[in-house]
Amino acid sequence: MKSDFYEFFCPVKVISGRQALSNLPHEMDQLNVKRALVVTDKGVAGAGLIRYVEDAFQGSACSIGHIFDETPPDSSNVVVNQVAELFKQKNCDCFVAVGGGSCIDTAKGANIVVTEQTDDLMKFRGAERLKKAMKPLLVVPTTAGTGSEVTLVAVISNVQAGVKMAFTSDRLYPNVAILDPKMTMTMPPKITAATGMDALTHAVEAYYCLQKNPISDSLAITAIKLAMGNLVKCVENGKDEDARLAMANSSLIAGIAFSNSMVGVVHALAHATGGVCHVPHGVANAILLPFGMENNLAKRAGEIGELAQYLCGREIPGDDRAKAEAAIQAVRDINKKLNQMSGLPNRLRDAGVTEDKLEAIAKVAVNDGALIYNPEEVTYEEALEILRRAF
Amino acid sequence: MSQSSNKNDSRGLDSGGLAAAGASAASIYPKAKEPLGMNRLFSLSYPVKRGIARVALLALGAGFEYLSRHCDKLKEEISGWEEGRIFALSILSQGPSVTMKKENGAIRCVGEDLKNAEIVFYFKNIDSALMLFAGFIGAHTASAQHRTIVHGDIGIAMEALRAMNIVQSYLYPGLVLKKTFKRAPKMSFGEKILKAKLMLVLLPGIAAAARR
Repeated sequence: MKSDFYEFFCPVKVISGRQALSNLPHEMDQLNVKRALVVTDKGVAGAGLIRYVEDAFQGSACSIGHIFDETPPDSSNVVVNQVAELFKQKNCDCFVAVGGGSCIDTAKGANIVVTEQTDDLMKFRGAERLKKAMKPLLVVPTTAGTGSEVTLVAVISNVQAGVKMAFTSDRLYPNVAILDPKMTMTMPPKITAATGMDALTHAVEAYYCLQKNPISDSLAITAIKLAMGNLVKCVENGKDEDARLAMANSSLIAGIAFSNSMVGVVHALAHATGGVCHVPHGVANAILLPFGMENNLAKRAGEIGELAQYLCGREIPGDDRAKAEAAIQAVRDINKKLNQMSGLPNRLRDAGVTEDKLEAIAKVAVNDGALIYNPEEVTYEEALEILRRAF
Repeated sequence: MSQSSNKNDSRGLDSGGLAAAGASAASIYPKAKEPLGMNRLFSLSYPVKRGIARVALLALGAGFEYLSRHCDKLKEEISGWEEGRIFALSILSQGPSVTMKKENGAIRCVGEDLKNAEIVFYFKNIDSALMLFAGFIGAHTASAQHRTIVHGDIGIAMEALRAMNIVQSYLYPGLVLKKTFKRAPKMSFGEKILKAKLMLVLLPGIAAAARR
């Protein structure tokens, strides 16, 4: 079960810091592209963040071919095909995703459609099916949680078939990720809390799930340290640029970690909770994380215990089990604090889940691919039990 | 401590330095004990490996056919599958394959054609496939180590994987299951009898599947 064999890959160029966004046209130039299709959503555009992107192009030979700001919260094949069509119509040669996970996934999906010259994404579902070199994709995240700017995954709903299509391929990694603190400053406290807990969940699960490896381990620890040191600060004062930048880094680093070590039962249940009850992914992850850690205590007390010093901010005395329990308690404590500060739900019932939906969530969760990587076996009954405890 | 480090630094990567580094790495990531026979397996020629893999895939196929008619757990697992669902296992890039289809409520081996399969589990190379078939690693470890990839819907793949785990639990001895499964299944007396029966029908089953 230890990492005696692993793969690790992350080809994304990272630019992080104040005014990092100004480098966008230069990076396009380096990739030998000139005309960007910007993929964003109404929330990002409404917050005035696209103006920053437009400003960055001043005085450069690169330009914006079109701004698509109608990305829905859950990307679909219809939107992806629409974006791909715009890409061709407007003679664009690269994608710039400005937003959260859905905008980034939409750009990745449209890139598959454009590159593979297809309108049927269904035949590319699964792992490592994309062989052609894709159009350059540059990403400017406006949330700090998904880590999609450095992952090889895209999840897109198929409206006609009523299924979520998952794609994983080394070709789906963006070329460039730009972390500029001004792009996450407008996030309200509750979303800051939820997305931050998403990042923390990625890092924690990356550290104890089956694909863990020495590189992802070191990244996970760094991401946890950054999140524990800065998430509360960001929620407390959204204008704290240092804290915002640190959380953007935490999210990105956790993204690289989990993209290479995968996640487990927390994500399987959170995906299902989102699918059945439309609970935001970060909220579901925050609620389920301590329960998922408990689920793996028997097999991963050592690894979870190793995280105690980073989650608690001090050395914890005692054996693996005592340390692991302290780590879990630290997650509960930060959840409680974020609940008091921002209203982040701490129980599924507070997030809009009704008890009669738990069975449906468990049923969906046992078919989630993340369960493969969870150290402990999770049956339908066990998934239901975790949900009941988190309810 | 610092003295010792300096000493190592001045010697460069000498044997002492390597040994120290090795010891430190091992304490963090203890190397899994080399399972008996794994190296022997790796040293076989490709045609022999291919032959072993082909027999193993046929055994899996024959196991699916038999158990989908006689094992309640497997029957329950596949009861929700639509008729005609096709899934396959294959070894990249020109290796052997086995394709299975749900027909009349049971699973049938339909040869090696991957064309119509909704789900294909690919092994990236024959050594990885042999490690799984020989019981050195489980399906989840093969996934975690990127030894396998899935083409198709992940949800359907998870259903197929659960079914495959049930079949494997009848094909392998308890000791292997204990080592390769996240949680080794506990078998009732009736299930143990079924396991014994499967062993008896396996050879003719493989022969029949091979003919198809």
